[in-house]
This record gives sequence, C-alpha cells and structure tokens, in this order.
Amino acid sequence: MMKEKVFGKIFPYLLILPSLVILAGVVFYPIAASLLRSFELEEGGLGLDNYLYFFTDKIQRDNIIYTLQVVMITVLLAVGVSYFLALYLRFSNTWTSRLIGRLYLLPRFIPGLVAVNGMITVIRDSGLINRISRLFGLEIKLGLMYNSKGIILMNLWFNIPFATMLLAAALSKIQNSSIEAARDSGAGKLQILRTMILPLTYRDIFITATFVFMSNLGSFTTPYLMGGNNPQMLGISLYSQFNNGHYERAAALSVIMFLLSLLSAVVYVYTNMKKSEWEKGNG
Amino acid sequence: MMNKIIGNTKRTAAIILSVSLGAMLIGGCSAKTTAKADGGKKVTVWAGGSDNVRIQFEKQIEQFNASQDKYTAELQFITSGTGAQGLFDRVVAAKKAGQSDTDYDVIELGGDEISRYVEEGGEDFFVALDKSKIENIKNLKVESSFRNDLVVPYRGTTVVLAYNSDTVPEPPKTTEELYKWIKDHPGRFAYNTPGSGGAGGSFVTTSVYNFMDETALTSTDPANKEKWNKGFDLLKELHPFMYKSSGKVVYPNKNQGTLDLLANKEVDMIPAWADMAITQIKKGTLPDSIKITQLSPSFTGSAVTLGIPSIGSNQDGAYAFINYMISPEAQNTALDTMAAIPVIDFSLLDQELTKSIADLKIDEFRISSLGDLGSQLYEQWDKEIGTLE
Amino acid sequence: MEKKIKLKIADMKKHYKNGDGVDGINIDVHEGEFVTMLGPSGCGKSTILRTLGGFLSVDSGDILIDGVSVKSLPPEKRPTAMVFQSYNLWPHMTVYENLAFGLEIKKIPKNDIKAEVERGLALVNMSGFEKKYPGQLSGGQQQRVAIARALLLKPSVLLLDEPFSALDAKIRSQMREELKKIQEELNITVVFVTHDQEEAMALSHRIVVMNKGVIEQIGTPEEIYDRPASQFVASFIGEMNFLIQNDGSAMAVRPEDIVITKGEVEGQICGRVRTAMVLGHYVEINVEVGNQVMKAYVTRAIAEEIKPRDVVSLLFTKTCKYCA
Repeated sequence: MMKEKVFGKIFPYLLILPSLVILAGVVFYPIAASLLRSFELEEGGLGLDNYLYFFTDKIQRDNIIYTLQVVMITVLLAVGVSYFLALYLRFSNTWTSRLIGRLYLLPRFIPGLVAVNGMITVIRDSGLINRISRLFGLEIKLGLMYNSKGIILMNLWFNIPFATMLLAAALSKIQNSSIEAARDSGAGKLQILRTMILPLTYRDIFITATFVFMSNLGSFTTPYLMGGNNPQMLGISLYSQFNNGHYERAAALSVIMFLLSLLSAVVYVYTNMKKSEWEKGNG
Repeated sequence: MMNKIIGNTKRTAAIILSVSLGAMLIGGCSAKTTAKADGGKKVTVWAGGSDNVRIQFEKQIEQFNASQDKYTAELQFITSGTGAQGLFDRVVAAKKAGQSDTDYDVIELGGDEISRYVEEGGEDFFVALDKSKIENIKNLKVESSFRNDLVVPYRGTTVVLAYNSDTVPEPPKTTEELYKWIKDHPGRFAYNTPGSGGAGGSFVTTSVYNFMDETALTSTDPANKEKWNKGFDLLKELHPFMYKSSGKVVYPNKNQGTLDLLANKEVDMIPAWADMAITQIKKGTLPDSIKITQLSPSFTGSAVTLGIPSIGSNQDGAYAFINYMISPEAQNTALDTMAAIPVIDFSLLDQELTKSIADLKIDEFRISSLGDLGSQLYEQWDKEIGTLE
Repeated sequence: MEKKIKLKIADMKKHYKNGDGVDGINIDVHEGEFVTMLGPSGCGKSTILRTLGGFLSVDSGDILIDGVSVKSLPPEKRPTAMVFQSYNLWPHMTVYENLAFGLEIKKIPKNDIKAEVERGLALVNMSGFEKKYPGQLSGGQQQRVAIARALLLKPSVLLLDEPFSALDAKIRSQMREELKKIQEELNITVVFVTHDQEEAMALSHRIVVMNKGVIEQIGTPEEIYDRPASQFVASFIGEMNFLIQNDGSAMAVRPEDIVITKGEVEGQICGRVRTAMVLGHYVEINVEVGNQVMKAYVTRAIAEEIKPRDVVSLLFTKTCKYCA
C-alpha cells in the first residue's frame, strides 16, 4: 500500500518525464552549447568580441536596427489590421462576415515556401499584377521585391490570420449585453471601442503583439527570397555567418536574437501575470 | 477496488512510458541503426540538394544494386530548403557525439565542403582512401581540387552564361565583351549574391581571379587576398548597371533567384549552373529562347565528390559503390539525368549524350578551390558590393 | 382624468429570418405605470422589449414615447434605459465608474456626477460600494447597481429584461420588493419582462400575457387571474382545473373556488379523494372525478375530516368556460 502511495506521487512526474527529456535534449542543451560557443574567439581564448562585433560593425548594427524596424512595423500593422478584422467578425452578422470568418485562417494552411513563391509571382515587377496592367496599356511595377515592403507584406500574410484568431477569441469573451448597456447609456461606436472593448482586450493585444514579434524576429524564408542585399534581417545575417564558417559569431548572434525574443517574452509573461484589479474577483 | 485502480494506473503508466521512451529511442537514434543485421550487405548513401540530384542517385543506385548482389545500396536524401546544412550538421554531430558503426557509409559533398568537414569533424572524419579498392579510378580525368586523398569526384558542374536569345542574338564570347554588354544594357544583367549560390559565386570569383595567375584559383594562400583589389574595382564599376528593382540595384539570393529573373524576362543575361539551366530548359520552366554559352576565360565549376566517413559501418560496400559511381554506366546516367559533366574519359561514354553538353566547352573546365579564402572573398563582397547604394 | 400615455406600441410587427417573431402588437403604457410582459420562453416578450430599447428594428408599425416616434432611433438616442438579465456591469470599471459613465457622456459637471452617483447608490442601498469592481459583488448587488445605473440616465421608460431570473429565490423576492418601492417613489414608467407569473402579479399595475408572438390578454393582475381571456391565460396564470364537458368545451375552476363536502350531495360532482397534502396554512386535496383529477385548496380545519379514499362532493363557486 505504501509503495503504491509513493508511486501515485511520482506518477505525474513520470508522465512529463519524456517531454522533459526531449526538451532538455533539443532546447536546453543547444541553448547552453551556443551560449558557451558564443564566448569562444575565432583566434582562440574567451571573450566578448563576438558580441561586440554585432554592435560595433556598421553593417551588423544596421542589420539589427533594420530587423527591429521591420518586425515592429509588422507587429503594428498585423495587430492593427487583425484587431479591426476581429472586430468586424465579432460584431457584424452579415453573410460576408460569416464567409470571412470561415476563410480567414486559410493562409495558415498554405506552406510557407509555397506562399512566399506565390506572392512573388504576383507582386514581382514582371509578376501577375504587372502582366494584367500591361493588358490595359499600363506598366505597373509595384517595387515590392528586394526591400522591406515585400517582407512586411508577406509577414502580414502569415501573421494576420494567427493574430486575428487570438484577438477574435478575446473579443468573443466580451458579452453582448456589456456593449448594449454602453449603447443604452448613450455611448457611440468610437466611445464603446475606446472605453469598453479596448480596455477589456488590451492584454490580449499585448500578448498577440509579443507572439507576432517573436515569430518574425528570426524569420528566414521571407527575407531570403524577398529581401534586399543590405541591410539584411538577422535570420539572413545568421545564415551567412554560419555559411562563412564563423560559428562563434553565429552563436553570439543566436544568443542576441534569443535575448531580443526573451525581451518580448518578458512582456508576455508580465502582462499575463499582472491581473488588473478588476480581474481579481472576490477574495 | 482501490488497489485495482492503482494497479490499472500502474499498467497504463508503464505502457505510456515504454511507448514514449521507445519513440524517443527510435527518433533519436535512427542514424545509429547498424547494417550488421543483414551481414554487411547494406550500404547507405547520403546526399542532398535539388530534386534532379535525387533522381540521378535513385537511378544509379538501382543500377548498382542490379549490377552485383554483394551489396544493396540505399539512398538517404535531404532535399535542399529543408537544409543541405542538415547533412553536415547530422554527420558532424554524430561524429562529435562519439558514435561509431552508424549508417553514414557514403556521403556526397561539394568540392569545397571537405575543408569544413575536416575543420569541424576532425582530420579523421573521412577514411583515407585506399585507391587500390577503386578500380575505375584509372579512368578519372578530373582531380578533386582539394584533399583527393579523402574524397573522389564523381561529377562536375560548371557555371555558364545563360541568356535570352530573343533579345541577345549575339552573346558575348569573352569576359571583356560581357562587361561591355553589361554597361551597354543597364539593368539587364544580374548575378546572385555569391554566398547564396555558386553561380553568383563563380561570377565574383572569376571577376576577381581573372586578374591574377591561373594557379591562384586553386590556392589557399592568404597572401592572394592582396591581389583582389582590381577585381573588386571591376565589380564596383559594374554595380550601377546591374538589375534594379524600384530604383535600387538588387542581387537576388540563390541560384534560382536569377534564373527566375531570366525566366520572367526581367533580365536578359545571368551566370547560371549549367545543370540547372539545362534541366530547366528541358522541363520548360525556362522558355525555349533561353540558351547557354561559355565565355573565355570560362566561369569556374566545381567537382562534387563522395567520401567515406570513418563512423560508417560498411567500408567495403562504400568502396564498391564509389567505384561504381565512376563507371561509364553511372557517368552516362549523371549526364543524362542532370547534365552533369562526366569526370572520366569522354571516349568511354555514350557519344549521343556528350553532345548535349558540347556548349559547355569541357576542355576549358576550370575548378576553383580557395578553401577558406572562398568564404572570405564572399564576405568581402557582402561588405563592399552588397552594401553599395 | 385620463392618464397620460407615456409609451405607445402601435400595430408593431417584427419577424426573424427563421419565422419566429411578434405580430399585431398594440400596447399603451401610461405615465408611472408598471407593465409586465409575461409568457413562456419564446413567446416574443423579450423581442418587444428589445425593439423598445432600439436593439432590434421593427418590420412595421410604430413605437412612440411621449408622442414622438422613436422607431428609427439607435439605442444611444432613445429616452429608454435597459437592465439586462446578467452581465450588465462593465467588469473593468468600478461601481462608481459604471454609474458615472452615462452621465459623463452627457457632459454633466464632475461634482454633479458625484452627487448623482451617491444618490443612485443610496436608492438601491449600495452606498459605500463605489470603489468595488463588479467581480467583487454578489449577483443581487450587481443587479442593484445595474438598476441604479439605468435610473441615473433618467429614462422616460425603464426597461427590465428578466433582471432577477439569475438570482436565487430569496434574494429574488427581496429585490422584487425593493424595485416596487423605488418605482412607486420615483413614479417612473416601467416595462418589465418575466416568465415568472408570481413576479408579474406581485409587481405590475397591468400584465400583458403573450403566447407564440401574439398578445393573449392585457389587464390588471386581478382581471387576468379572475377572468382569464383564453384557456392559455387560464392555464398559465396560477393553478387551474379544467373539466372537459360533453360538448368538448372546458370548464375552468381555480382550486380555491372549490368547496368540498364529505359524502354525496345532490346536484354536485362526486369524486374520491386521492391525496391530501399539507402545504403550510392550507391543504391541497386531489380528487378523482371520473378519469380526471381536480385540485382543491381547503383550510386545515376542513381537511382534518377528509381522508384519502373518502367519497366527497365538489361545489364550484366560480367558473369560466372556454370553447374547444
């Protein structure tokens, strides 16, 4: 009987053991290994030179700034557009909104590489839009390829469905009668958005933003196929460091990227932990 | 009653644990499965790259298995995009983890890659080849440019000039003519970033090394860096005449990046890998109007090689497979399926097939092997040319 | 003197896409009157209330408040205020902010808002709860704040959509009493929706009984109880025995309108006692008459003498008759 009691206590840990072992093998170990390697200097010895390189070398510093810019613009646009899309899906009850409600997740099911190549075929200067424009005697060149505009456009394609899904879930938690009571009190649409819907969902907006931030910081396929040569996003920079055999620098850059992600993870955890006064409830 | 429930839980737990641990073992150690079980018959061949490489290997392995019954070869193919990096990482990691007796019996690697393998995996990464076990080596015409004591070249590839014959009726024949054409036709030429693919890499390498001694092209002497200036000046001079998108000069990533520009008629001329261009013209992804030509002095190519990792489990089978790969039959297959440049005496080959690569001017086949200098050259390009406005 | 009509619903029709809805609705509500819409769920009572609040548009007919048509006005422009069944309060605002919200929109000076909010909370016995959040209040407390909030909007007509149905029985009757008191104090016009006939009887000046989208009867609680206009009303309001006659029509008699005498009495209906149950100060007696069961309420003194299986005679002091 005693033995069984002990087993009962251990049992839950046994269940998570496999995932812990896998986690240790594929997450913790590589992180620790990169961390160690990032301090090894190419000419031997230990030091911070690999890190300093990314902040002192002008090209690399520009890459970091450029990446943060692209990611921040992506976050703002993706969350902004998704929020309005989610609002539309939540509060409109027309057949178009129902149709969009069924279809908006579709881009998530298209493999990344296929989507990027598809997008390129449409928007490149000799792409579908250009060809159609030529039928009408125009020569429309969008100029979206090989610069940040194309990358951001593609990022939106990938992130809007996901962000909309999160935000729609948040909006669905708002009760109809809350909104109706506000209208009854004389509030117009904008007032309701500002005083009811935004405060009730601001945390989900932050959480969505951190997810979008993290998933775009290290993106590779999109900037590789659609980005320009300079500045480059960190994913590409990492790739070329690695290809050129600078494994220590590559490790340092991975750690830098990890820390940037961590920064937004901190925002995520903080907003998740910090309950507003009103959410604490009774006792 | 209680005991029974606990007993059941126990059994369930045991099942869950053994299943998940089993799954982990299978997942984590697939590369470790030994070949001993079938009496040393199985030879596992690892290769990566684009689809035509896979098709080539599948055919050659089928023929190899049919030609003898001592060994059975099996292909493990890593499609590029999921990462050719993958194979390097996997084998090196296995070596570092101290594994032995793995199924990495034969691996395919690019001529320049050998230095990376040795650097990361150690000098004993590959088995030092016993040439007496590779009978067909007597027909070999192309030396592996680097460490031919460890690897055997089995096919060559070279970069050529691909152009749209509709808009360029008379393609340049020399590098001088090419540079003049580029300047006369602004925005109609593109080469990919050298770090992202060998076609652009070869353009940059030849642009720089054509100003230097021919021997420099196969030298890893760091002193040669001093002589790069002239070449970089030329690249800077050409920069403003390159392909532009929204007013800015762009060097696409990957070999396919420039081929797409050519296919979409956004440019008229690019450096491209012969095998890629020929197979894509054959498949129709490049229009019929696209033709290839070789310049003088020619672009460089490289040899793709096979090596036997010391952590493999079937060395005899590996030798047999490598020997087969440089036989006339295997060479004909490589030529037919992917327009690969044969590495053995052409007289041994199907003459019909060799005609298809007549444009490549094999007699001028140049191989560059700069080792670490190669990546330094590309890095300098990233800094000096890639960042030009 | 004829009382002033505050709210007029004229020949109103509202149909949903699935065919449900209300038809031919004509109701006049006088100033200071408490009118309840009563009916089973799905009868259309909430539909009418939501068209009054402006949350639903009407298909045809009109809604007038103080003689002015409001049917094309959105909720924020209507002189109505609504209390919902639940989730009335905004969870992220304190009680004070909840009450002040509508007043701030009306651009009332800060000090006046403060005074108003205090007055509103005092009215519903919630003084001192200003800084609490809705999540920290009980269901009953939340509904009181909701009522105060609606009252602070000074509506011409106060609309309540089953406001107490989510509360437990004891709190419910307490809230009922308080609402009645407030309504009388302020002399405010109220339209109240419920499916609970006891609640309707207790609160209302007049009751609108609805069934399947149409009005069955409008009248004072006494009229509705004593003279149900249809068999549906008769069965829905209070307890009612129906005795099917030979011509197929039904004779309806309430349990308290039955006098029971032991033994057989000439000219009265005879039956056998099935059960007798003490329900406090009175006793419910079920009598088998033929193949029907009649329910009668008698005092405990009378019930003392009646035992199950006794033969008894029934005298009906008041009946209604409904055609088949």
